[in-house]
Amino acid sequence: MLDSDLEIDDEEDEEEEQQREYEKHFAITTAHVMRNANVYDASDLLELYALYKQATEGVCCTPRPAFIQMKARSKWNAWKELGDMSRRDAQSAYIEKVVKLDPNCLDNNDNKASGDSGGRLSGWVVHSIESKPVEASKLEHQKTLFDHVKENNLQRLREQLQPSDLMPLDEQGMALLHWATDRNAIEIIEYLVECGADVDQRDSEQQTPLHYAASCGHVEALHCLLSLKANLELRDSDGQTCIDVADDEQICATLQAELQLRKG
Amino acid sequence: MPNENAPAASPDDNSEQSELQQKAKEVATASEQILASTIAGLKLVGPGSTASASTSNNSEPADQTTTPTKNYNNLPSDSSKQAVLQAVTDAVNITRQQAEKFTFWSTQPVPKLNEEVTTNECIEANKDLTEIRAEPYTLPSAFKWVTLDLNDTADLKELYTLLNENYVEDDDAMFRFDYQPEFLKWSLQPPGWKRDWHVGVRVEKSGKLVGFISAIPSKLRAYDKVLKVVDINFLCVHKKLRNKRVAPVLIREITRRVNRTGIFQAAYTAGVVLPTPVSTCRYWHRSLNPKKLVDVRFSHLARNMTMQRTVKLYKLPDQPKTKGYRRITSKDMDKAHKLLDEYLKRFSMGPVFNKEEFRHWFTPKEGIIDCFVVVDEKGNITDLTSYYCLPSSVMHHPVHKTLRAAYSFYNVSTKTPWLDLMNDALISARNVQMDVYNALDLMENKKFFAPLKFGAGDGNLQYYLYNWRCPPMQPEDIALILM
Repeated sequence: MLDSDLEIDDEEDEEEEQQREYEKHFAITTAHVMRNANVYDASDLLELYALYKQATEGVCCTPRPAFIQMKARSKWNAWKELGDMSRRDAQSAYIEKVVKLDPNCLDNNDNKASGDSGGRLSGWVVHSIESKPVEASKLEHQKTLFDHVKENNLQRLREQLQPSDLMPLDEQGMALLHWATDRNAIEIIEYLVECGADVDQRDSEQQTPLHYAASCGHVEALHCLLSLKANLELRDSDGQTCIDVADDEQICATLQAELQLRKG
Repeated sequence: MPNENAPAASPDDNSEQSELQQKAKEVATASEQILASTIAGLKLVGPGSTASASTSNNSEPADQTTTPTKNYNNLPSDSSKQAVLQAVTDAVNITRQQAEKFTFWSTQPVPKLNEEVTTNECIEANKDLTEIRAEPYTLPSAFKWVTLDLNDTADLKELYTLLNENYVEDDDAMFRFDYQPEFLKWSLQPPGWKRDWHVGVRVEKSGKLVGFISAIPSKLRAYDKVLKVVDINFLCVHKKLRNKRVAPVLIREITRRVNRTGIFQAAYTAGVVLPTPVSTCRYWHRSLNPKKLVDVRFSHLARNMTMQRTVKLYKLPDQPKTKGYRRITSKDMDKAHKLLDEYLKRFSMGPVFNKEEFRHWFTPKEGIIDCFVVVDEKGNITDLTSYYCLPSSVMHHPVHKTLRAAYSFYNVSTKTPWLDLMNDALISARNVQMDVYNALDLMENKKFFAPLKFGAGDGNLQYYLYNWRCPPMQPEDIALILM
């Protein structure tokens, strides 16, 4: 009952492996979309619908729905517009689109594709990680600039940021730049400062972004802020400088060295 | 040699055959049922018809009996057909998977799922040596049995590699256990270990190690009975052999080898639900290095939570605080053994260590196992805490390659309050650069999870006994840790 394909050798059939990878990602992303359909905007859903049809059924050749069936008609139109795109291309465009909407969807543990596990050892070994905090997911159009910063989504931020957004503090007493620093999102830090944010902006407790970088231990954000000439000597409402709140010795040493350098 | 294998193969082939027949039967029955209900559904909707169900089902009062089919009526008929076909395919697939998984277990002396158990007894009587097959079970033709020699560096390295690359079978996994060679030796060579129970499968031609299963001897108390058992662990099959049904052969073979020594019960744990768990436990996690844990996506910041507050939240004092808290020494062993032995009697299920075993499991070994005791003024040992170290490889991360995890082992508190004792344990773990401290919700662990800021994990660990039937237990009744 067993034949030569059981012999283990280290060569992989790359092509086949890749196709399987595609299929798997497609299965994961479709399952993900099914669960999150209520979160996405109508236009995103329409695009996903069209790609899905193209990927699973190929070129659209069903008759156009009647004029009064508005919804069906717009779906059909979206599908038809894809023309003769290959199934494989549609599949990869679909995956790409979902990943763009939810960058983490492929490695989320809940998203395991079902199927093909019969007779396997699946789940024999358990590697637990911390459960995700339970919170209502926000609809894409409900997200604020603060949400985009928290999610490290520079693209959305670029689309929506106005100069007047840079100063205000949110209900937690933090400005966008504090959040960007807290999330170690250096591209956003650079972008915000480029747009005119004050690199030494104070939060409601008089902390600067540099306080955040130092207390979180974010080495990248720290270097980024220092290169943007953030002030090391400002004190928060407890009278502490960024060096006083530093998380570890390495951060402390970096800040001390920078301070000496600037004084020298 | 095929000729040598032939006579031995027949009993296996027979059982394989009957498994297959049974499987086929189950699938057939399930599919028939599904098809029947499907056809019933199709009739109601009818191809190309959007008429209400009541027209084709007019003998029944429409308002009640048609509700289940109403959903179909809102869909165009082609998609409803498609949905039904999809449902059939899914159902058949699921049934097949279930059938495949459980045909093996239905041949084993384990309680049936949903069986109500009120007794505490073996399922099958002990066998006479003459009734136990003397020669190994037959492997697929290209493979051969080996027993690994963990004292041999090459064998140990091979086992390490097999587990490292294949033990967590999900290719998408973000983390994989990285059992270190010295850890494997420690966990597989306790007092009384047998080389014969370090069972490997190699590819005949290349010699490559592609499968493994292990047993270690132990004593286990289940309610009022102390059993001679083995702990089964490290069942691992190479990724490419996953659908060749090698695992059942490994389980049969280790059972045979253990039975040959007069042991007929075993304990094991798994993530998956099989017939039938004694208890279901869950992992909890306490961040020690929250920034790294968020970076590697082991933990997640809530939308409105800042890293700054998170770091503050999990900060621990520099040094343990309890007076008399220190690492266990060789001289403490007998007293500490007695303390644990007494304590474990409180639970419905737990190991019974002898002195030698206690010394093996609780002697600190850097990067493997650490143990601390609290000693009072008179020199009595009043409390004990221990954890083992098991790193995980972090997949696909540019900076972090390893997650350093401490796993709570056995803890006893008789004088030091739980919160003080375990907070010191956390500090000890943090001071050797552990990133996270993990604990199951068994023994008295639930008492300190919330106050010490543990968060619930995302997976269950099922506890099983082989050839033993006893009433199910709550996690807090369990005092058994298998690594």
